[in-house]
Amino acid sequence: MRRLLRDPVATLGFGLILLAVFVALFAPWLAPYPDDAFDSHLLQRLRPPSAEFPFGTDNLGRDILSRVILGTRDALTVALAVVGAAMLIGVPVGLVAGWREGWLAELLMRVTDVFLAVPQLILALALGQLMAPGIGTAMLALALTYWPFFARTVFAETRRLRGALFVDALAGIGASPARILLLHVLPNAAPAILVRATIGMGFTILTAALLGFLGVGAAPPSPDWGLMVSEARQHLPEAWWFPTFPGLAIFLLVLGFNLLGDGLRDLADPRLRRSR
Amino acid sequence: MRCRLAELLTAQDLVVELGRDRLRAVDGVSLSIAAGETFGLVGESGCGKTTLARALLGLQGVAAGRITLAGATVTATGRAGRAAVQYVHQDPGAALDPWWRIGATLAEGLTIHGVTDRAEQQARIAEMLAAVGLDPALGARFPHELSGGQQRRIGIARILLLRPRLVILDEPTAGLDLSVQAAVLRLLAALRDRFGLTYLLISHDLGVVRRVCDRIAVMYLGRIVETGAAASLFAAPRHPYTRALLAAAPHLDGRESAAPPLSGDPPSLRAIPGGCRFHPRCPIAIPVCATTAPAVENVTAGHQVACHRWQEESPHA
Repeated sequence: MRRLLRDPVATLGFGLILLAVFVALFAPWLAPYPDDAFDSHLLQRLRPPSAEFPFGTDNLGRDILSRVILGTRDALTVALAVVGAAMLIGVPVGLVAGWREGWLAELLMRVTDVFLAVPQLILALALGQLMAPGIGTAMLALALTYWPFFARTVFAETRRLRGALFVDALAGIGASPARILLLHVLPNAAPAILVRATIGMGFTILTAALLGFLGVGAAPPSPDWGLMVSEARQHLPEAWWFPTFPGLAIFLLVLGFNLLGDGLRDLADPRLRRSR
Repeated sequence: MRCRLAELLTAQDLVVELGRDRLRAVDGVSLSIAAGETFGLVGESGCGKTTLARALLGLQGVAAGRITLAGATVTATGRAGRAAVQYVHQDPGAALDPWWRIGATLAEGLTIHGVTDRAEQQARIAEMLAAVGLDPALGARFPHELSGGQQRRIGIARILLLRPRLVILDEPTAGLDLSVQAAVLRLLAALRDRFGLTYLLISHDLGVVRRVCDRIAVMYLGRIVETGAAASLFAAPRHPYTRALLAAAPHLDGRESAAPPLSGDPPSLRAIPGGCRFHPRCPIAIPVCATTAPAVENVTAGHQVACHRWQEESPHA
């Protein structure tokens, strides 16, 4: 942790994420007009930024600052849920495939490759057609397409660690495969998983916003960032503030996760860890 | 040589095949290790020493042959057999999980073998750390915070906590400077006496083997070519390979060895020579060596050699 803070870029990313978490937790109290998530005020539509509405108002007269603040919680929740679900599928698959040799490992990794080959947006659009379009469908599509990244990461780590001398020594003193995998391989693979999860959070937020923009993510009137950018299209270029501030929110949060992910990757590199 | 005690571990016609190509890394090895002795296994890199050790340990499946421990046949995965035979890795630092504190690593072995009481674990760990000459406070450290000598002692302590009867030491002094080497060897001798251990010492450092081993087996390309008491084997080696190994070892007094040095590298396991496996590199090979594998013959009661010409060639020629 202390070493992370010595890296200014990663610290910036971490700060952005902390800010987002803070905003998400206290959104109803931070937003100047918390009811603007759903209420519309047609008389004050498309007002430019002012003291009263710092980010301006949208096509239904809602305060954009409030909606950006209220959208943070959804963005983070979606990212956490998708990455969590992807880890729940990908990590066990990677562990088993990395440990075992033979047909089971081959089967698991080929299935992983198939899922890896499915384009995220296409799957999300297809699922949206099959099921009701909505944030749940979008999350399902994202989780279904993101778990292979965890599987591959954990697979590579497990393969590397399986050959490690300490794993051999554990087998020598009679440790069971489950013990070796869960208590030794998994913690040793944790840095790589953490890096993957952090970068995955940013990626998921971006893709969820994209799905919202395309109309297969969150449904109106939810204060979803991607949806806001999408709604703003019809009012460009006059209402420049309408897409700018939600877009900026997406940009900053994704940037934060990516910077933190890069910083964590540097930390996780054992060569760097040893030398400090 | 000590007086012969009961056999602790024996292997009969052991064959180990590796990988999909079924390379015979160990091909028909028989040996017997008596309780309380230090048995040395020497040979060049890649001759199958470590594979043999892993087979004896039960970590490596055996294609043919039989291993007995204290008279009972050992199956490859029997847990009881595993606790009695333990292995100390060549690189003890890498044999410790870098994320686990030393104390946790030591306790883990006890947990696996059914000692789950925290207080008893801590007592046994403290006692064992003292026995290997380490400060019990070291238990709170991580592996990379220890020196090479300390890591080696931890590696030994970790194994001895399981109360094994036979400890396989793989190059126990590799990578240590001479003063630490001597300390580790003294420690091993002291631990052997204290805990009633038997050692199988794998090494290519003949100086170390000569100093600590009671009996020695020389391995070449998956076969044992000569076995004997350390004293008689070093004084009168019968197999030309043993002689070449001894000749290759540097002498402190600068005297030249009588036997010619070995030329070339050992052949690959993929292309094992027919007949006697050593014949392409053997200085005294005769035509029969290329066609017929030599039988194991007794030189004296405790000294066996597998060579067609052991009787003809005087060891001091």
